[in-house]
Amino acid sequence: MPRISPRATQRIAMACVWGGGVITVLILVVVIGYVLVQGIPGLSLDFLLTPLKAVWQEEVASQLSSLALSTLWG
Amino acid sequence: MSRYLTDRLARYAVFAGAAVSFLVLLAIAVFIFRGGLPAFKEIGIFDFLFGAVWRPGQDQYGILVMIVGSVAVTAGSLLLAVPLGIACAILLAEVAPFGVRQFLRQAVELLVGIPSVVYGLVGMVLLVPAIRQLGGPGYSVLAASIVLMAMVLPTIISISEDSIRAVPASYKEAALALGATHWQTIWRVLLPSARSGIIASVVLGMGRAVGETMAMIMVIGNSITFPTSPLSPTRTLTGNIAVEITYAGGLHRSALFATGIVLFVLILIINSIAVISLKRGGHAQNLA
Repeated sequence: MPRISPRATQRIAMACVWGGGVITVLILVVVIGYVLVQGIPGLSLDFLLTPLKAVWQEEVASQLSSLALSTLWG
Repeated sequence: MSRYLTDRLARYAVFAGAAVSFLVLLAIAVFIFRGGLPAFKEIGIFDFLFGAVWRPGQDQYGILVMIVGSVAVTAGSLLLAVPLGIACAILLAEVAPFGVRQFLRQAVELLVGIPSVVYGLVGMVLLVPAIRQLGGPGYSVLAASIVLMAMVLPTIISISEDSIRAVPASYKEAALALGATHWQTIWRVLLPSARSGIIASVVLGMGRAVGETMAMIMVIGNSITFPTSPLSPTRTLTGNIAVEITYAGGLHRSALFATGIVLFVLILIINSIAVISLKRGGHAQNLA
């Protein structure tokens, strides 16, 4: 088997190490980016503040204030 | 107030805090054991641990499928996370310039802060359909392993980085002075010296992987079948409790508590290994 020079090994290893860093940042970007891209269009003051009671009365399934309150309370 | 009195009060407060934490842990342990021991008595420890059939309707409670599921997912996630985590730790401790290091460290801290349900959600919506293209239902050991990898990465990265940094600078200087390249120094001097800390990081990551529940329920499929390939669904110990506890009663409920005992003991063993490994490292570094 041909011997790889220490210099080449160093280059390959450093590429792998930097690759590891890039993948970690990519994971973060994908998770946060996806949630933001999908979630931000649905955010509004009504979404946050309308009581959950309205969900049954008006058949609007996206009110959050009661859930937010119970989360904060718990 | 005299300094002496303040000192004593502070000491009592700290002691009380520690005692309350210990008592809470003890109360949880007693609660789980009280709930689970009847199941061990009625089913038998061997049948419970090594039984391959879990059918609460017919009073059959064997958790082997769940044990295999948990082991498969944990092994899969570590297989992915360990090389990536150690590479990242090396980058943070030795290679990256200051600015990149600060940025990457913030990114890793952010990864810790993301709730597990968000990981599960992204896994369910992005990963599962992609894995479905490879075959199977998509909800699989592979999906769960990838999601868990992202969740255990910060543990592995931060503890490994600390242990690489804790290696005395003289080791590195000696290696470089002998003509070793930077990578040779990292590979043959720094990593072996930091071995115990790196092992501890992996073991702690393993503890987190075994205990993770929410994200697992969302991406693993929860079917009570042995995983025959990375693409097949299965169920984990934690998922078993979370999925069934809401409607369980009698022996079924007790069997779920017994599953909790198995998890409790498993995580206790894993954490003990991590602590022992870290202590050994500290000892070695003191000797150096």
